[in-house]
Formats: sequence, structure tokens, C-alpha cells
Amino acid sequence: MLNREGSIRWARIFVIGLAFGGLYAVGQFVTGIVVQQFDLVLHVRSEPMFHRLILIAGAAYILLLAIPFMPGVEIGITMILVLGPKICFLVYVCTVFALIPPFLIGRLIPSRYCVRVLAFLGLEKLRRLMEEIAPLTADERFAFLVKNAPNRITPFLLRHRFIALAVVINLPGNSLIGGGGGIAMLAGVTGLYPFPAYVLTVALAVAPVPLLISLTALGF
Amino acid sequence: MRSELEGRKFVGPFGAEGEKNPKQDSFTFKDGKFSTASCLEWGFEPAPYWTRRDARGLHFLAELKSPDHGTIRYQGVYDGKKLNIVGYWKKERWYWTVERTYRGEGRLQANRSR
Repeated sequence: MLNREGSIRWARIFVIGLAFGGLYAVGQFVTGIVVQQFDLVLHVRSEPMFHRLILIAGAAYILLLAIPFMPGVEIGITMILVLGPKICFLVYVCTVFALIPPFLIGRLIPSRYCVRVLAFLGLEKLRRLMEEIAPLTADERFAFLVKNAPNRITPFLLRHRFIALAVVINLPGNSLIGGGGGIAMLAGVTGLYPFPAYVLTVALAVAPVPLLISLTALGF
Repeated sequence: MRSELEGRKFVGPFGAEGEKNPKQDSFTFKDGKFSTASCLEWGFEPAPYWTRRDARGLHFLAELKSPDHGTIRYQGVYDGKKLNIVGYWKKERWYWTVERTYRGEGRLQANRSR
């Protein structure tokens, strides 16, 4: 039988799950509208409208991808499917741009707020860990996390954190763990990624899919 | 030397490749320049045209430019009965270049005006 503290914790998790579910549904709805708008034919007459729609879709893509748990990547995929491989460059540029603001927000969020959020979620172990690493520098955090990692995989992931980030960003269904925006924000919160190295990692990590599509379209 | 097409106007369906119901358009050769009704509507200025003859008929080529919609390169062949015409539209944006082919067929509408 659950005690009162346990019940409150589960209630909080339920409310948060409901909120994220709602955000996910809104994201899917917006994605659906954008998909419908692209279902047009490109002509001399309609091209200026298409141009505006593409820019709006690009902006919506950046916005949705940047928001944690939003399935923004579907807009990018849809743009490629509907408009063809030629649009890959724009989608690529938008993807890289979309993953910068949440990272910076994560970097700028004071650790005390993260601690409060974790406490609200009832994630005690994580809260204590955050409290311990909050005052440390990036190098000290890294050393601390490797030393106190609970299993053999975590230190490996920490040592190869740029590769780990690249893999997670490309992981299908990653919207369940925060999507591109959530992952970027978490990367910022950890303080383990210097900004230029983060941007370079993201630029390389999101390149393979559009590059592969473009090369395939060119007949390679 | 005056072209055989000069002063003539052709009318017929003209639309994007694969389009089921292409719209009627008119193709005019006047004062050494080529223009189409739809192009004038979209802001493409009449442009000089070049011709050459071979066994298939009289070929022509013209490139029309618009300040907003890019360029359309028209080329076609007149076999004495009808004008088979192809238009290659190209519009460059900073993120991509749109290219589309239009096809049509025009019947002689008016004889030489002069």
C-alpha cells in the first residue's frame, strides 16, 4: 500500500505525464496542419505562396524542435518527403539552428531551479546528484560523474559524451526522452559541453540523413 | 531577315508536365519579341526570339525574365500546322532552385499582321 508521500509523487508524475501528453498531441496537430499546407502543386503562380509556406514551416520546425517533447522532426521529414531532396539543405540548417536555443537555455538555467524541478518530480537521487555537482566546474563535474557512475556503461558514455549526444539526437523515437529540444536542453544543463563543441557535434550529428538523401537523389 | 513566325499568334493548352487540365494560353511573336498571355500576367517581359529551320520545321527559342518569378526558357517547333512548345521555368531561392517544365501546343490564331 502506498503511503501519503508515495501517492503525492505518483500524482505529480501523472500530472506531468498528462502535460507532456498534451504537448505531444498539440505538436502532432500542428504537424498535421503543416503537412496539409504542403499538399499543393508548385507553379509559377503559387511559388511565392510556397516560398512563404516553406519559410513558415521552417520557422515552425525550428520552434517545435526546440521545445522539449515536441515532435518537430516530423515537419522536417515531411518537408523532405513533400518538397524533395532539394529542401534538405534548408531542413539541415533549421535543425542545427533549432538545437542551439534550448542548449543555451539549459546552460543559463541556474542549478537551483533544476534542483527544485527535480525535487518537485520527487526524483531524490537525481536532485542530490544535481545539488552535489551544481557548484563544480565542467571538468570537476565530469571527474565526479565518472567516479560515482553506477555502472560500467555510464563512464563510457561520459568519456564519449559527444558521440553519445550524436547517437541520442539521431535515435528514432527520441521525443519520448525529450526530443531534440529536450536533449539539447539537458546537454546544456549538464555543463559538460562547451558551446562551440556542442554546435559542431550537432552540425555533424544531424548531417548524415539529409546528406544521404541528397547524395541518393544525385545518383551516388 | 523577317522570321516566318513574326506577327503570328498561336492559341492552345499549356501546362506543367503531368497536369491533367492545362489552361488555354496564347503565344505571340511580335516586333521580334516573343510573349505569352500567362507570362504577361505573371510579369514576364516579352523577349527577343531566335529561329532556325530543319527537317522538323521552324524552331524558336526565347528566354523571358520576371523580376519576381525567375526565368522561363521557351523553345518550340512550328511544322506549318501547329506549334509544339516547351517552357523551362527556373526560380532561384537562397535555399533551393525550383525547376519545372511546361508543355503545350498552339494552333495558328492569326495570320501575319504585317
